[in-house]
Amino acid sequence: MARKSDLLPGTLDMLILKTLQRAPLHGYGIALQIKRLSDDVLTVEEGSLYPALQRLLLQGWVKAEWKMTETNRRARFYTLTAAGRKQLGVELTQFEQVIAAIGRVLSDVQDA
Amino acid sequence: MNSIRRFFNKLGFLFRRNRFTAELDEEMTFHRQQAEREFVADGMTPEAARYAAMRQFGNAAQLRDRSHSVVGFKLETVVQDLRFALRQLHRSPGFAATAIVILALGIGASVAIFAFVDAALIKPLPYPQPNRLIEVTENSAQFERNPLSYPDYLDWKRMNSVFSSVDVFANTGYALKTAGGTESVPGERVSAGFFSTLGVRPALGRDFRAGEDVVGAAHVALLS
Repeated sequence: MARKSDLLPGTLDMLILKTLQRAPLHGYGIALQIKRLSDDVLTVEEGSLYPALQRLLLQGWVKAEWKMTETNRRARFYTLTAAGRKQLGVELTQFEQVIAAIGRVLSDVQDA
Repeated sequence: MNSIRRFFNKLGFLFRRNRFTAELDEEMTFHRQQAEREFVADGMTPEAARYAAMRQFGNAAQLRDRSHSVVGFKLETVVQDLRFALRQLHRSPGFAATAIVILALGIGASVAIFAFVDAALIKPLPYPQPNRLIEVTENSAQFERNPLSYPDYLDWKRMNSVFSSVDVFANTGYALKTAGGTESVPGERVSAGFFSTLGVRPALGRDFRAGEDVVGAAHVALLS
Protein backbone atom coordinates (compact mmCIF):
# COMPACT_ATOMS: atom_id res chain seq x y z
CA MET A 1 0.00 0.00 0.00
CA ALA A 2 1.61 3.23 -1.12
CA ARG A 3 1.05 6.11 1.25
CA LYS A 4 0.78 9.54 -0.20
CA SER A 5 3.46 11.77 1.24
CA ASP A 6 2.44 15.29 1.98
CA LEU A 7 6.05 16.41 2.17
CA LEU A 8 8.46 17.29 -0.57
CA PRO A 9 10.98 14.47 -0.84
CA GLY A 10 14.06 15.06 1.24
CA THR A 11 12.57 17.74 3.42
CA LEU A 12 11.54 15.57 6.37
CA ASP A 13 15.04 15.43 7.88
CA MET A 14 15.33 19.19 7.59
CA LEU A 15 11.94 19.76 9.20
CA ILE A 16 12.77 17.43 12.09
CA LEU A 17 16.13 19.12 12.70
CA LYS A 18 14.48 22.55 12.52
CA THR A 19 11.78 21.49 15.01
CA LEU A 20 14.40 20.22 17.43
CA GLN A 21 16.35 23.46 17.19
CA ARG A 22 13.98 25.11 19.62
CA ALA A 23 13.77 22.39 22.26
CA PRO A 24 14.18 18.63 22.69
CA LEU A 25 11.00 16.76 21.76
CA HIS A 26 9.71 13.20 21.57
CA GLY A 27 8.59 11.69 18.27
CA TYR A 28 4.96 12.50 18.82
CA GLY A 29 5.85 16.06 19.77
CA ILE A 30 7.84 16.49 16.57
CA ALA A 31 4.93 15.32 14.43
CA LEU A 32 2.54 17.57 16.35
CA GLN A 33 4.81 20.58 16.12
CA ILE A 34 5.26 20.24 12.35
CA LYS A 35 1.50 19.85 11.93
CA ARG A 36 0.71 22.88 14.07
CA LEU A 37 3.37 25.19 12.68
CA SER A 38 2.28 24.37 9.14
CA ASP A 39 -1.40 24.99 9.99
CA ASP A 40 -2.22 21.34 9.36
CA VAL A 41 -0.85 21.48 5.82
CA LEU A 42 2.09 19.17 6.54
CA THR A 43 1.41 15.89 8.29
CA VAL A 44 4.30 13.66 9.19
CA GLU A 45 3.35 10.03 9.04
CA GLU A 46 4.62 7.80 11.79
CA GLY A 47 5.83 5.42 9.10
CA SER A 48 8.26 8.05 7.85
CA LEU A 49 9.00 9.77 11.15
CA TYR A 50 10.58 6.90 13.09
CA PRO A 51 12.82 5.61 10.30
CA ALA A 52 13.89 9.21 9.73
CA LEU A 53 14.74 9.63 13.42
CA GLN A 54 16.81 6.43 13.32
CA ARG A 55 18.62 7.79 10.29
CA LEU A 56 19.39 11.05 12.08
CA LEU A 57 20.58 9.12 15.14
CA LEU A 58 22.91 7.05 12.98
CA GLN A 59 24.35 10.18 11.41
CA GLY A 60 24.90 11.60 14.88
CA TRP A 61 22.78 14.66 14.10
CA VAL A 62 20.42 14.04 17.01
CA LYS A 63 20.77 12.14 20.25
CA ALA A 64 18.03 10.34 22.12
CA GLU A 65 17.31 10.20 25.84
CA TRP A 66 14.49 8.68 27.85
CA LYS A 67 12.84 11.31 30.01
CA MET A 68 9.53 12.00 31.73
CA THR A 69 6.92 14.12 30.00
CA GLU A 70 4.91 16.78 31.81
CA THR A 71 2.15 14.18 32.15
CA ASN A 72 4.69 11.91 33.87
CA ARG A 73 5.07 9.36 31.12
CA ARG A 74 8.32 7.89 29.85
CA ALA A 75 9.19 9.10 26.35
CA ARG A 76 12.26 9.24 24.19
CA PHE A 77 13.30 12.84 23.68
CA TYR A 78 15.48 13.82 20.75
CA THR A 79 18.04 16.61 21.07
CA LEU A 80 19.87 18.39 18.28
CA THR A 81 23.66 17.84 18.39
CA ALA A 82 26.31 20.29 17.20
CA ALA A 83 26.73 18.22 14.04
CA GLY A 84 22.95 18.32 13.58
CA ARG A 85 22.93 22.10 13.88
CA LYS A 86 25.57 22.30 11.16
CA GLN A 87 23.62 19.86 8.98
CA LEU A 88 20.48 21.95 9.41
CA GLY A 89 22.39 24.97 8.08
CA VAL A 90 23.57 22.96 5.06
CA GLU A 91 20.10 21.66 4.31
CA LEU A 92 18.47 25.08 4.70
CA THR A 93 20.94 26.60 2.28
CA GLN A 94 20.36 23.84 -0.24
CA PHE A 95 16.61 24.12 0.17
CA GLU A 96 16.63 27.85 -0.34
CA GLN A 97 18.73 27.44 -3.46
CA VAL A 98 16.26 24.92 -4.87
CA ILE A 99 13.25 27.08 -4.00
CA ALA A 100 14.91 30.14 -5.51
CA ALA A 101 15.71 28.16 -8.66
CA ILE A 102 12.14 26.89 -8.93
CA GLY A 103 10.90 30.44 -8.39
CA ARG A 104 13.05 31.74 -11.22
CA VAL A 105 11.77 29.07 -13.61
CA LEU A 106 8.16 29.75 -12.68
CA SER A 107 8.44 33.53 -12.97
CA ASP A 108 9.99 33.14 -16.40
CA VAL A 109 6.93 31.21 -17.57
CA GLN A 110 4.67 33.95 -16.22
CA ASP A 111 6.54 36.72 -18.01
CA ALA A 112 6.35 35.00 -21.35
CA MET B 1 34.45 10.11 8.16
CA ASN B 2 30.67 10.09 8.19
CA SER B 3 30.46 6.60 6.77
CA ILE B 4 32.87 5.30 9.42
CA ARG B 5 30.74 6.74 12.19
CA ARG B 6 27.61 5.32 10.57
CA PHE B 7 29.28 1.92 10.42
CA PHE B 8 30.20 1.93 14.09
CA ASN B 9 26.77 3.24 15.08
CA LYS B 10 25.25 0.40 13.07
CA LEU B 11 27.57 -2.05 14.75
CA GLY B 12 26.38 -0.69 18.09
CA PHE B 13 22.77 -1.21 17.08
CA LEU B 14 23.57 -4.76 16.03
CA PHE B 15 24.72 -5.65 19.53
CA ARG B 16 21.79 -3.87 21.16
CA ARG B 17 19.18 -5.15 18.75
CA ASN B 18 16.75 -6.32 21.42
CA ARG B 19 17.00 -3.08 23.31
CA PHE B 20 16.59 -1.18 20.08
CA THR B 21 13.38 -3.05 19.27
CA ALA B 22 12.03 -2.61 22.79
CA GLU B 23 12.74 1.14 22.75
CA LEU B 24 11.18 1.57 19.34
CA ASP B 25 8.09 -0.34 20.45
CA GLU B 26 7.76 1.76 23.56
CA GLU B 27 8.24 4.91 21.57
CA MET B 28 5.63 3.99 19.00
CA THR B 29 3.16 2.85 21.66
CA PHE B 30 3.62 6.20 23.36
CA HIS B 31 2.94 7.95 20.07
CA ARG B 32 -0.22 5.92 19.49
CA GLN B 33 -1.52 6.61 22.98
CA GLN B 34 -0.86 10.33 22.66
CA ALA B 35 -2.77 10.40 19.39
CA GLU B 36 -5.57 8.47 21.08
CA ARG B 37 -5.79 11.03 23.90
CA GLU B 38 -5.99 13.82 21.42
CA PHE B 39 -8.85 12.13 19.61
CA VAL B 40 -10.65 11.71 22.92
CA ALA B 41 -10.04 15.39 23.70
CA ASP B 42 -11.62 16.19 20.33
CA GLY B 43 -14.77 14.42 21.51
CA MET B 44 -14.37 10.86 20.26
CA THR B 45 -15.37 7.89 22.38
CA PRO B 46 -12.31 6.08 23.79
CA GLU B 47 -13.11 3.07 21.62
CA ALA B 48 -13.31 5.07 18.40
CA ALA B 49 -10.21 7.06 19.40
CA ARG B 50 -8.22 3.86 19.84
CA TYR B 51 -9.18 2.58 16.40
CA ALA B 52 -8.55 5.95 14.80
CA ALA B 53 -5.09 6.11 16.36
CA MET B 54 -4.29 2.59 15.22
CA ARG B 55 -5.55 3.38 11.73
CA GLN B 56 -3.49 6.52 11.57
CA PHE B 57 -0.45 4.71 12.80
CA GLY B 58 -0.69 1.82 10.38
CA ASN B 59 0.92 -1.59 10.61
CA ALA B 60 3.23 -1.51 13.63
CA ALA B 61 5.29 -4.50 12.49
CA GLN B 62 5.85 -2.96 9.10
CA LEU B 63 6.87 0.35 10.67
CA ARG B 64 9.31 -1.42 12.94
CA ASP B 65 10.81 -3.17 9.93
CA ARG B 66 11.29 0.14 8.20
CA SER B 67 13.22 1.51 11.17
CA HIS B 68 15.21 -1.72 11.36
CA SER B 69 16.17 -1.48 7.74
CA VAL B 70 17.62 1.96 8.44
CA VAL B 71 19.95 0.71 11.16
CA GLY B 72 20.38 -2.93 10.10
CA PHE B 73 22.98 -4.67 7.97
CA LYS B 74 20.38 -6.40 5.81
CA LEU B 75 21.25 -9.73 7.42
CA GLU B 76 17.92 -11.08 6.27
CA THR B 77 18.88 -10.70 2.63
CA VAL B 78 22.07 -12.64 3.28
CA VAL B 79 19.99 -15.48 4.71
CA GLN B 80 17.70 -15.28 1.70
CA ASP B 81 20.65 -15.50 -0.65
CA LEU B 82 21.99 -18.54 1.20
CA ARG B 83 18.61 -20.25 0.97
CA PHE B 84 18.45 -19.50 -2.72
CA ALA B 85 21.95 -20.90 -3.23
CA LEU B 86 21.03 -24.11 -1.39
CA ARG B 87 17.87 -24.51 -3.50
CA GLN B 88 19.86 -24.06 -6.68
CA LEU B 89 22.43 -26.64 -5.58
CA HIS B 90 19.62 -29.02 -4.71
CA ARG B 91 18.23 -28.65 -8.21
CA SER B 92 21.43 -29.80 -9.88
CA PRO B 93 23.01 -32.41 -7.57
CA GLY B 94 25.72 -33.35 -10.09
CA PHE B 95 27.01 -29.82 -10.24
CA ALA B 96 26.70 -29.49 -6.47
CA ALA B 97 28.67 -32.69 -5.87
CA THR B 98 31.41 -31.62 -8.29
CA ALA B 99 31.68 -28.21 -6.67
CA ILE B 100 31.77 -29.69 -3.16
CA VAL B 101 34.41 -32.31 -4.09
CA ILE B 102 36.62 -29.72 -5.77
CA LEU B 103 36.30 -27.37 -2.81
CA ALA B 104 37.02 -30.23 -0.38
CA LEU B 105 40.13 -31.30 -2.30
CA GLY B 106 41.34 -27.74 -2.64
CA ILE B 107 40.86 -26.96 1.03
CA GLY B 108 42.35 -30.32 2.06
CA ALA B 109 45.44 -29.80 -0.07
CA SER B 110 45.94 -26.27 1.29
CA VAL B 111 45.60 -27.49 4.87
CA ALA B 112 48.08 -30.33 4.28
CA ILE B 113 50.63 -28.02 2.69
CA PHE B 114 50.25 -25.47 5.43
CA ALA B 115 50.53 -28.14 8.13
CA PHE B 116 53.83 -29.26 6.58
CA VAL B 117 55.21 -25.75 6.22
CA ASP B 118 54.08 -24.92 9.73
CA ALA B 119 55.79 -27.95 11.27
CA ALA B 120 58.96 -27.68 9.16
CA LEU B 121 59.55 -23.95 8.97
CA ILE B 122 57.37 -21.96 11.34
CA LYS B 123 57.10 -23.94 14.55
CA PRO B 124 60.31 -24.19 16.59
CA LEU B 125 61.78 -27.64 17.29
CA PRO B 126 60.11 -29.36 20.26
CA TYR B 127 63.17 -28.98 22.55
CA PRO B 128 63.71 -26.65 25.52
CA GLN B 129 66.06 -24.18 23.78
CA PRO B 130 65.60 -24.71 20.04
CA ASN B 131 67.41 -21.46 19.22
CA ARG B 132 70.62 -22.88 20.72
CA LEU B 133 70.54 -26.14 18.74
CA ILE B 134 72.78 -26.10 15.68
CA GLU B 135 73.36 -28.88 13.19
CA VAL B 136 76.95 -28.95 11.94
CA THR B 137 77.99 -31.03 8.95
CA GLU B 138 80.97 -31.45 6.69
CA ASN B 139 80.55 -30.69 3.05
CA SER B 140 82.55 -31.28 -0.07
CA ALA B 141 82.27 -30.48 -3.76
CA GLN B 142 80.41 -33.76 -4.37
CA PHE B 143 78.19 -33.90 -1.28
CA GLU B 144 76.49 -31.08 0.47
CA ARG B 145 76.31 -33.20 3.61
CA ASN B 146 79.38 -35.33 3.77
CA PRO B 147 79.20 -38.17 6.32
CA LEU B 148 81.39 -37.36 9.30
CA SER B 149 83.98 -39.90 10.36
CA TYR B 150 84.09 -41.05 13.99
CA PRO B 151 87.68 -39.83 14.61
CA ASP B 152 86.71 -36.46 13.16
CA TYR B 153 83.81 -36.32 15.60
CA LEU B 154 86.17 -37.03 18.48
CA ASP B 155 88.44 -34.22 17.28
CA TRP B 156 85.51 -31.81 16.99
CA LYS B 157 84.37 -32.70 20.46
CA ARG B 158 87.85 -32.26 21.89
CA MET B 159 88.59 -28.95 20.15
CA ASN B 160 85.08 -27.48 20.57
CA SER B 161 85.14 -24.07 22.24
CA VAL B 162 81.84 -22.73 20.87
CA PHE B 163 79.10 -25.16 21.90
CA SER B 164 78.06 -26.37 25.33
CA SER B 165 78.26 -29.91 23.96
CA VAL B 166 78.75 -31.75 20.69
CA ASP B 167 77.06 -35.05 19.90
CA VAL B 168 76.48 -37.12 16.80
CA PHE B 169 73.68 -39.20 15.35
CA ALA B 170 73.33 -41.43 12.31
CA ASN B 171 70.21 -42.83 10.74
CA THR B 172 70.10 -46.61 10.68
CA GLY B 173 67.83 -49.62 11.02
CA TYR B 174 67.86 -52.88 12.97
CA ALA B 175 66.41 -56.31 12.51
CA LEU B 176 64.05 -57.15 15.39
CA LYS B 177 63.19 -60.78 16.08
CA THR B 178 59.60 -61.22 17.18
CA ALA B 179 57.27 -64.19 17.61
CA GLY B 180 55.84 -63.49 14.15
CA GLY B 181 59.26 -63.38 12.46
CA THR B 182 62.00 -60.83 11.93
CA GLU B 183 60.99 -57.22 11.41
CA SER B 184 62.97 -54.25 10.30
CA VAL B 185 62.75 -51.29 12.71
CA PRO B 186 64.11 -47.82 12.08
CA GLY B 187 66.71 -46.60 14.57
CA GLU B 188 69.31 -43.98 15.26
CA ARG B 189 72.88 -44.51 16.39
CA VAL B 190 73.77 -41.72 18.77
CA SER B 191 76.60 -40.68 21.02
CA ALA B 192 76.09 -40.90 24.79
CA GLY B 193 75.33 -37.19 25.35
CA PHE B 194 72.81 -36.96 22.50
CA PHE B 195 69.67 -36.59 24.63
CA SER B 196 71.17 -34.23 27.18
CA THR B 197 72.42 -32.06 24.30
CA LEU B 198 68.87 -31.92 22.94
CA GLY B 199 67.69 -31.18 26.49
CA VAL B 200 65.26 -34.10 26.77
CA ARG B 201 65.01 -36.96 29.27
CA PRO B 202 63.57 -40.43 28.82
CA ALA B 203 60.04 -40.83 30.12
CA LEU B 204 61.00 -44.10 31.78
CA GLY B 205 64.36 -45.54 32.86
CA ARG B 206 67.66 -43.71 32.42
CA ASP B 207 69.57 -41.78 29.79
CA PHE B 208 72.84 -43.13 28.32
CA ARG B 209 75.82 -42.71 30.61
CA ALA B 210 79.10 -41.17 29.52
CA GLY B 211 81.40 -43.94 28.39
CA GLU B 212 78.64 -46.22 27.17
CA ASP B 213 79.35 -45.20 23.58
CA VAL B 214 82.99 -46.25 23.42
CA VAL B 215 84.18 -49.20 21.38
CA GLY B 216 83.94 -52.42 23.36
CA ALA B 217 81.34 -51.22 25.87
CA ALA B 218 78.08 -53.18 26.33
CA HIS B 219 75.34 -52.40 23.79
CA VAL B 220 72.58 -50.23 25.20
CA ALA B 221 69.36 -49.09 23.57
CA LEU B 222 66.57 -46.63 24.34
CA LEU B 223 63.11 -47.36 22.99
CA SER B 224 60.98 -44.56 21.61
